[in-house]
Amino acid sequence: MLEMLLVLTLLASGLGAMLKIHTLNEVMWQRFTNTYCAHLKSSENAAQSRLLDMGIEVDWNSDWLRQCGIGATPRYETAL
Amino acid sequence: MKTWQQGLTLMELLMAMALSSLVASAMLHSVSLLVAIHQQQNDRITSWERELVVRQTFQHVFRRLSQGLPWSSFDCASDRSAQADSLLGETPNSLLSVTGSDDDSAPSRAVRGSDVIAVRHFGCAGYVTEQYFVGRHSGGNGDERFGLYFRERRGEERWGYSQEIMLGLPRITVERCDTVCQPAINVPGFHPAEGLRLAFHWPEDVVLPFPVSYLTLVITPARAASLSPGSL
Repeated sequence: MLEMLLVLTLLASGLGAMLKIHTLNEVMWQRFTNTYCAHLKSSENAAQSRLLDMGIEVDWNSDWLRQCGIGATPRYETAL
Repeated sequence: MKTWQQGLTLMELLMAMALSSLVASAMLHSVSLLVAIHQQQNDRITSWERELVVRQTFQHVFRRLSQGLPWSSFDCASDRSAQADSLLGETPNSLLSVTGSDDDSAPSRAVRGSDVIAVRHFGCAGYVTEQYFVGRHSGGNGDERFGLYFRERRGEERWGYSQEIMLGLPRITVERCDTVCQPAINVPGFHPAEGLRLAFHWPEDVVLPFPVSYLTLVITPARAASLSPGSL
């Protein structure tokens, strides 16, 4: 009985460690994408306002970053 | 109950075997999960790195061009290689600057034999067309070169736009911005552009939250005619 308890404890702690790794991975990744997407958005906004200042009409698809940095699932998620 | 030689009962033996297989299976599963996490992270990083490299490369090339190329007076009839090389700081006889191709079913010789890691289409008088492109090449020995190249297209389009595209991008589209940003092709006349909008179409295996990413570049008034190549 004691052996079984030990094994189950080992498995539970292993599972906990895996979950922790996965969660930490996701959190760090989300932080990175948020930063990068913020950079992309500010870069696009700056260029857009510069063109507007020059009297150039900007009618392009400016919502291409809508899904960027909001925790959206990537288009092609690698299956775990 | 039947006992083993060392005093183990059959039930204990079966239980030990079950536990061992449980532990082994859990460990195998953990390893495969770790591999999957690693692979997922690797795919993500690779995808974002490609996005970053494409963006930085085009920004870098564009910055040099916007400073160095005479956007309003680029002479199409001149020696394109020498002009591009001098403007981009390359030696005039760079191997990568061989322009055109004898075989119109293949990419230009500027591309053949080297990995194209950056392409930017560029045209006369500030025009962005499909005929001219700025390339950043990897020579195989670690060095990278920039150059302005001309791609010949004779008659039928037997080899396409996508064959000289960097990093596996299936397509790059360019809009030139004058009063409005429009596709660069089929715009008559020669007028310097005020800005460019490049769209990078990503392959389907790229893990990015968007299928196409854009880079908007504003062209400052040309001051290149007064710049010497050495000032680049």
